[in-house]
Amino acid sequence: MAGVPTVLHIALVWVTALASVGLAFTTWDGIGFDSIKWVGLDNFRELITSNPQFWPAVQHNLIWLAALILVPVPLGMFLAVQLDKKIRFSRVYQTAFFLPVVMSFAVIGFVWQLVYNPDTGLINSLIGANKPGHYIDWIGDPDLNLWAVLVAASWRHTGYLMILYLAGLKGVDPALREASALDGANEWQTFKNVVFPTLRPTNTIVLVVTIIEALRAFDLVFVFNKGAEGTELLSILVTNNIIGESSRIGYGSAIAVVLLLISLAVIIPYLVATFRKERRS
Amino acid sequence: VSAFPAALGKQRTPLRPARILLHIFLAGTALAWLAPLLWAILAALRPYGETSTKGYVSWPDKLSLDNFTNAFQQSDMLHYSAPR
Repeated sequence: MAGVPTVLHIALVWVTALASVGLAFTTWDGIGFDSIKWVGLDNFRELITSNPQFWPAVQHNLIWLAALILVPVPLGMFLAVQLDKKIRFSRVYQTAFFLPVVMSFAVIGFVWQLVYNPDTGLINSLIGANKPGHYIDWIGDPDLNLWAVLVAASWRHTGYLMILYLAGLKGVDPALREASALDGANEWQTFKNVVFPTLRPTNTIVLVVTIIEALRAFDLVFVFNKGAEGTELLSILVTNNIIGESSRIGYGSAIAVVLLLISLAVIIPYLVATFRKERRS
Repeated sequence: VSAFPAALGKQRTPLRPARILLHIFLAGTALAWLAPLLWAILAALRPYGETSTKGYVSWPDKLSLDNFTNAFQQSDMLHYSAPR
């Protein structure tokens, strides 16, 4: 019976992933296996030299990663530390922060469209930026829309990390806190020298989850503005090329391979360093 | 020597002003977190006619589930959700 999950895993994960890597070196319109033509590195050459959306998409994916590490990680950790203080209404606050996580990204994109809508949205109505003359187009302006959508992404991700850190904090031995209080450490010293070091396993999970989240970002942007100018992402280019009207499966797979390489380049050094450190200690 | 009971006492009943500040901060942040959702719910409950005359940011006179019943009926939802 143990063979069934293995077969399913190999068929649905490894075969499809490796087939996608293989298809990256071909052109295929997706109709019949006869039309697959080997083209070597042509797809990658075209991608790097003549696709105007490719480098912005790479840049946006990396900005997404940096922004998720810089804002939701410290904020989620901070909120978790505050909520862990045996405070009243802690459950109410936790629910508020976690609520965005239980909604699908499609709903989140739609909700934030209502907030950012240049004519009728909450922000522009409140600051009066929906009249001609001073008009802020949060969704369409290519200098603004990436940051607007990153606010929505951080809004969701902070709640997720808050719960992860809260779970990690529950695992901190109370005797350690007591000992540091008896030694006269103040709140910040206790956190820095006692609590934070014991959170290391949680930090590993949080960073891996954040990297995955940044590189697979797709649905939020697709609902928000279909990945228009300013919010191109590699995942959106993949979709547009493979199930768009062009149906260029080989070319789309080449973009997916670039995304895979970026993921591996980010995650492998991190995991190697983490496991090496864990083995040493 | 007297520092020991003070440290323990501090842990059990923390400083009130600090707690109040913490509650204000957490309540404010929680409200900010819920604001986009509340905004979406408000937009869903208001009839569009009222919104178009008074503007989106205004106090609602009348809230109803009309938008939901209309969406349910006009999209022929039963056709898709119930097996035939």
